[in-house]
Parts: sequence; structure tokens; C-alpha cells
Amino acid sequence: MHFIVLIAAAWWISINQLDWWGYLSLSIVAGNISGLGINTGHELGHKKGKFEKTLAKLVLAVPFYGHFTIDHNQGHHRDVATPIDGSSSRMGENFYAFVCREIPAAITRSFKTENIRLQRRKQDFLCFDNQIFQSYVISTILQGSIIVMFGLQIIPFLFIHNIFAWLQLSSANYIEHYGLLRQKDGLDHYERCKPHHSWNSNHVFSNLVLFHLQRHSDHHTHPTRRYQSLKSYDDLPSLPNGYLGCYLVAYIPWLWFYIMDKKLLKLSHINGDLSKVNLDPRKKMTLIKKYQEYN
Amino acid sequence: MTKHQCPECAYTYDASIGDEYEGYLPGTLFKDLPDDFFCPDCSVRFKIDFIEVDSI
Ligand SMILES: [Zn+2]
Repeated sequence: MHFIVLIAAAWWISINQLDWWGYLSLSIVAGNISGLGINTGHELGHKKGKFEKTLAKLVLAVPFYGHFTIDHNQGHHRDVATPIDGSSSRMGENFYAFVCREIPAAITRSFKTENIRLQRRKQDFLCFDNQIFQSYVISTILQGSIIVMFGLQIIPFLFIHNIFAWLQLSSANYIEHYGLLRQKDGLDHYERCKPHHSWNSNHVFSNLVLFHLQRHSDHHTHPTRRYQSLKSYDDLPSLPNGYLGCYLVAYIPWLWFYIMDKKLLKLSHINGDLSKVNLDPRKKMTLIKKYQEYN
Repeated sequence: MTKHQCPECAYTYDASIGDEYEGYLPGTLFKDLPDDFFCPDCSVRFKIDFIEVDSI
């Protein structure tokens, strides 16, 4: 289904002489549709069945994001709401800084994870069993044949499309764990991920579009639970709006900080204590100065 | 041979089978898995969390 959208959009561009504005808009729209595809890929990637995992590889191949399942399942879920997780945003970190940290971190962590597995199997990193490359190969074939079919003029379209699909995922990751921090319960062991380590939203529209992804606390407490059964708890970190509203706020850093920093510090398990917050190290001193009165 | 189960998602590691996908050969005992082993299915439970279910 997402394959068809991408090819149809590319075809539309090739037969119509769009001005740059039309070209750009169509690329962005197609990118956002594929971004929703990443969300579908997220659900499928959490399933245990081989068939679902294969479908996840296919749908993630459309925006060239095949490393996502491994990074997300075995990296983000393990490390969520800790400073080592590239996909958990920190207090004081604006959306754009987060994107620049997250996207490369996801790629390196997934390659590392997959490499460890392949080493145990005594296989080379470059082999057919590499789950990431399997998806990348599909991406290359798909986007390569689009270029062959529609010519070089389609390359910027693909590029913009991929970037916007990734940005949509980053937007979700940015708002889902902003500033939240798991405490260490041993020397180097973090406490289990609890419901108060995710931000939640329960707006009808996001519920429909995102398969209840935004009931995020439950997703992280029980990742393999089917999405329909994700429960919505009371008194959890709640976002001020639906996902899409929050994305828009996140794109305006000062507004995001203005709304969310207060909300974050008011959470009952933090209660103004900045040592219980995942702080951006670069903003640490400024934030401590600014929010001293909370302590 | 022993079996160990993830308390969160019921993934079961059976030492007599190992886990081919993860690269643990049949006969690899649970205690010999790496210390940073975590549940291959849900990733939110670690080696210390696993519960021995039954031994033969
Ligand atoms: Zn598990």
C-alpha cells in the first residue's frame, strides 16, 4: 500500500510539469504518508511472527528506514528514558538538536546490535541474514527503480520524501519521553521502565491514526501487547494536546519549553527535583539556575 | 536441560534448543548467556528477571 503511494506520487511528478512549490508539497505529503508507514512498521516489528517481521521490513523499506525495528525494539525499549538513549529527548533539548542526535544514533545502535547477533552466529556483518540490509536492499531496489522509471528529476523528491518520513518519527520520539528519566537502582542498572516514564495523549484523532501509539506508557511497560488493548491509565504524564498538536508546538522550541518544562517539573515523581530529570548536558546549568525556586 | 521464561512476555529460553536466530547454539546453558542478555522479544526484562520454569 505504501509502495503504491510512493510510486503514484513519483509518477504524478513525472507526467505533470509541477512548479517547485507543487513538487515540494507533494514530496512532503508523500513523506508524511510514509511516516505513517513507519508507525505501521513499528506495530508489525513488535510482533513475534516471522511474517509480521517481514512485512515490517517491507513497509520500513519505503522511506529507507529498515534499521528501525532493531534499533527500536532492542535499543529504544531497553534504554528508554535514560541519557544513553538516542531516541529519548532531554529537557532543554530543542526538536532540531534532537533530530540531529537521534537519527545517527539510531543507525549506529542498530548496526551495533545486529553486529553482535551476527558475531554470535559467526556470520559477517555484510551477509544476507543481516535484517537491516535486507530492508535496505528492498529500499534500494524500490527507489532505484523509481529513478530508472521516472528519471533523475525524481531524486530530490525521494530525498525530501525520506527526510519527512523520518522527521515524523522523530517528532513522535521527541514528545514521547521528553525529560523523563529512569533512576538507577544498582550501580549501572536502571530501574524498569514504569508508566511515568512516557508522555501520553488520548485524543480521538491520534488514537485512530496512530493505533493508540500515544498511550505510550503502557506500550513501554508491555511492548508486546497488542495495540488495541493498550490501556489508558489515569494520573500519568499527559501531553497538553493530541500528537499532531504537540508536533506543531515542538517545532517552535521556545513555546515547547514554555509549556512542557513546567509540566515536566510538576509531575508527582519529579516535583521540581532536577536530578530526576533527563537534562540536556549543554543546558544543565541554565536550567538549574532557572528552576531553582522549585527546589 | 533447563528452561527460563521472561516474566513479561513469556519468551522461553530452552537450553536444549538454544536460540538459533540470536546465535545461541543448542546446549548453551542459560547461565552461560552473556551477562547483558535481555529478552529477545520484549527487551524490557534482563537476565536476572528470567524465571526458571521446569527442568528435565
Ligand atoms: Zn520478554
